[in-house]
Amino acid sequence: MAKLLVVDDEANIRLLYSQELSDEGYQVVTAGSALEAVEKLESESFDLAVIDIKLKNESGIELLQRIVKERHTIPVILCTAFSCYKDDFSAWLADGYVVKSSDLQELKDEIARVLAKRQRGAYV
Amino acid sequence: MKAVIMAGGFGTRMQPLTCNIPKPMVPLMNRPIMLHIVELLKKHGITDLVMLLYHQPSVIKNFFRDGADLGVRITYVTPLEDMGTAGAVKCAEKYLDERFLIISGDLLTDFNLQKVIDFHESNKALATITLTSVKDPLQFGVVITDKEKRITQFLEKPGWGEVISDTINTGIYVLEPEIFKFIPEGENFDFSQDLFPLLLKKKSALFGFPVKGYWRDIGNTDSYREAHHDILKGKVGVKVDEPRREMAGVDLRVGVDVRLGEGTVVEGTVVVGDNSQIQGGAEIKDSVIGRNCIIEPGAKLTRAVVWDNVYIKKSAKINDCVICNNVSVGPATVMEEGGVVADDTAIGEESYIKRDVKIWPRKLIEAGSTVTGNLIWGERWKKSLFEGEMIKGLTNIELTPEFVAKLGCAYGTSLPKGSHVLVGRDTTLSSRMLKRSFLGGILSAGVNVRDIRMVSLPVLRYKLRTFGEVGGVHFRQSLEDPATTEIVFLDADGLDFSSAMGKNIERIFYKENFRRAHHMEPGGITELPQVMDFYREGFFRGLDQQLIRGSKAKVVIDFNHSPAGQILPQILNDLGCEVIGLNTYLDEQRGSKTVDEKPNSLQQLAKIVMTLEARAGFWLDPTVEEVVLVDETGRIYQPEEYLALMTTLMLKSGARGAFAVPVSAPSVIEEIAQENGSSVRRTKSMDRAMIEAAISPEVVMAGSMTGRFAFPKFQAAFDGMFTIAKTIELSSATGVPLSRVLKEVPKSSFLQGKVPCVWEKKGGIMRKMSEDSLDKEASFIDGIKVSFGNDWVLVLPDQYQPVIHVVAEAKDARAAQRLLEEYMQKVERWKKELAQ
Repeated sequence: MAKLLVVDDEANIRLLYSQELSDEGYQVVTAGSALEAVEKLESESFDLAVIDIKLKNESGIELLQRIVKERHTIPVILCTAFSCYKDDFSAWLADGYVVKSSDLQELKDEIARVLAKRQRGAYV
Repeated sequence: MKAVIMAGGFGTRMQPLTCNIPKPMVPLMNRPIMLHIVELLKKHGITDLVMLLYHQPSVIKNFFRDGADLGVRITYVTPLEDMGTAGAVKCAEKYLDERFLIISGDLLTDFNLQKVIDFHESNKALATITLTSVKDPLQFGVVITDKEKRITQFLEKPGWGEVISDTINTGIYVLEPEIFKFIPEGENFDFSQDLFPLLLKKKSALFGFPVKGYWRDIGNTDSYREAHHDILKGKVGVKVDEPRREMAGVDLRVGVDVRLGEGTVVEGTVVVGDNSQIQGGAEIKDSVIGRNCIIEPGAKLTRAVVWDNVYIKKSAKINDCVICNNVSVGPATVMEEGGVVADDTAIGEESYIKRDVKIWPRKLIEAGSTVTGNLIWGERWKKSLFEGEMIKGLTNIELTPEFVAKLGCAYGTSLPKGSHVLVGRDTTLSSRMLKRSFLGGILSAGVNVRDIRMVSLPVLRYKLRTFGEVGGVHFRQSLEDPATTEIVFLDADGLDFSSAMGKNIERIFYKENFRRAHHMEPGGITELPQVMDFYREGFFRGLDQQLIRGSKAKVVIDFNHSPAGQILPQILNDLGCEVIGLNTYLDEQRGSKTVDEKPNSLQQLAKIVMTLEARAGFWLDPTVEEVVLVDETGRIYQPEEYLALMTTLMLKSGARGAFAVPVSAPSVIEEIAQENGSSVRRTKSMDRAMIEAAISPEVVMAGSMTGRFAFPKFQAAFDGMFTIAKTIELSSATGVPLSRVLKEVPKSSFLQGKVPCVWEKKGGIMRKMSEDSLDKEASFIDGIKVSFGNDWVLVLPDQYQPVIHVVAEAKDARAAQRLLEEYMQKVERWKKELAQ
């Protein structure tokens, strides 16, 4: 069972994602801030992280950069209400980019795609 | 009464039928078109002929000679330059001292010429133009006459709005010798454009006489085929040399020494020229077959026009096509209607020539090909577009803008509607031209393009590893041949296309099964200006920057005018290196260097490295994937030496894991790796196989036998720029000159050879090799590699060339030479055995 870290500053979103993704068969851990996410990443291992770009006063992209720089091997999907960050090259470090929607299918598909890619060994 | 036959045209619109012969000599019912005209003139008592020649006159003269054999007298006149129709006739003025008739040498007609002459005489005309009515007068000169048949107006090639008559000028005129007063000497002067309007203006006796009957201007290949259809249907009577043979319900005309096999099915009107063989079981309907042809059993010809010396093999199907001289059509080939195959062409078995395709002379169509477009330049039509991950062809000859646009359309169709692809190119104008055509094709399929313009392949691959694009395409000029463009296709992860991906696009391309976007939904083009910054960031992250900065390395790099010259010097300067860049500027006109220039460039580079006392020199190929290393002593490294050196350097700097190398790489790599607790993963020599191996988490480096390296920590793709930086980093880590590191690499003798071998024998050679290796220790990853203790030999068929590679490695130079020679001789011997 793949273990996911969902980072979002909105509690309801964390709850929604947690329930929906658990129903999909994933083990889901949530974090409400970048700091909390870093703590969890240091103490537990994850197969994938789903990160919101706007985290109150913090930036999800900075969290993404930190994950990449510290050579974590976990793939990251950026999940945001804004499509404009697709053009920000810092965001290209991510493995996927999903624009938030009430229909979570796209996110689920993207998680499945990235995990399959990971299984093929595309991450070092 | 004399007649002038106009036979000087180039026949440009009739190409490729007229590539080797002048238009009047193109066969119609196995006889030159012009011979039918001569027969017509003779029928009306005109036997004193002047032939006006210009293009390839000797072909016509050799055939007609003085005309005695045909019962006519021929005088030839060949103007030295193109004088126009009337101007050319002026050149024959001295032979035309009485009333004369002018007729074109490429007409098919059964007009009663006598009636025209009688009309001319009774009206005391200076000039009479023969007129006829046609359904579509737009492409001809329309002529208007009054009640007395005096011409009142000319309309040259009118639009439908201007058409006030369907009566046209047939190109058959009766003229009095006084006409020459109106034709200036030595000037380009045309009958319909200059002379007749002039006569009209001067109110001369210019008449038009309408004639009923058959008339066709054989001006293009469609008209040529239709002329045959009309003759075979009996719409016009022409003389056929081959005598009629009695056969119920069939109009069969058969020449001398013709063999019709038992079981041959003949329908409609069929003409077979002298010495041709129709073998049993062939089906021929409404067709004309020339001399010395062979048609094998099962072949099916319908409304076909076949010239001389043509070989149509078993079960070929030819429908309403023209096949010129010396052509062989492979078994089970299908030719759709409207096709033309010009002289000296060979079509391989089971080929498919699509409707209206014209193949020009001396072409080779590979077996199993589908030919969808006219094949004019170049020599071959390949059955598959892809060679591995790329499509390559002669720029603007094989890969033309229209071909590439279609290719873009096929590629776009293979992708989801609304998805994005990343596209880039090298520095050359040709790549830019073809890329732009390709983009049009992609957009038409409703797929969006992110155009990153002039960029090196490694940068394009790097961006592809992130989200956003479903694939990438890179245009570049070939190193081997600067006249060739290579289009490299990458998948969504930046990996080379697999053969299955290529096949998918080929299927769409050949079937022309394109998805055309709605007019409101074509794809759009956007740019990604930040790609370089993104690449640079990742590049820095992949290196030990502090180590490089501390070493203050001085290096010389030959950038070969590649896009890398725009980015790498800055990156290395930022890392504290002193870079002496050679050929860093981009020169779109000049294009990339060729392989031939490489040895000189390397010598030059080695000299500069020594003079400047640099730590190393690097020759970066224009694709920015391959690197040649020169050490501080000026020694130029062979690819296998560079591979062994990099493996050693990686291990010395503490890297542990697996090294991915091809089967053909020296076994010293294993020796070095095992000593340091690492392993080697042998792969096939194809780039994709190596890169797939590099993706595995335990692989720390993949190295080819061509000086290309991938470092998965940065990106699992061959990247020459990163290879240079990594070499500097690793040499800084060891702190010793490169030449000293090389000395530590265990020595062996590594030799490579090539044996030419046709495609059909490659499989047989490998079978013989595998039989030969039965009692030996052999591996079959790619080709067959046989080990003799530490020594080994590899026999490997080339993927794209008609060549078998033989590679040998041994501790002792003589042993390696012996192994190489032994196996090259074996391959030669097997080739001979397979030929028996």
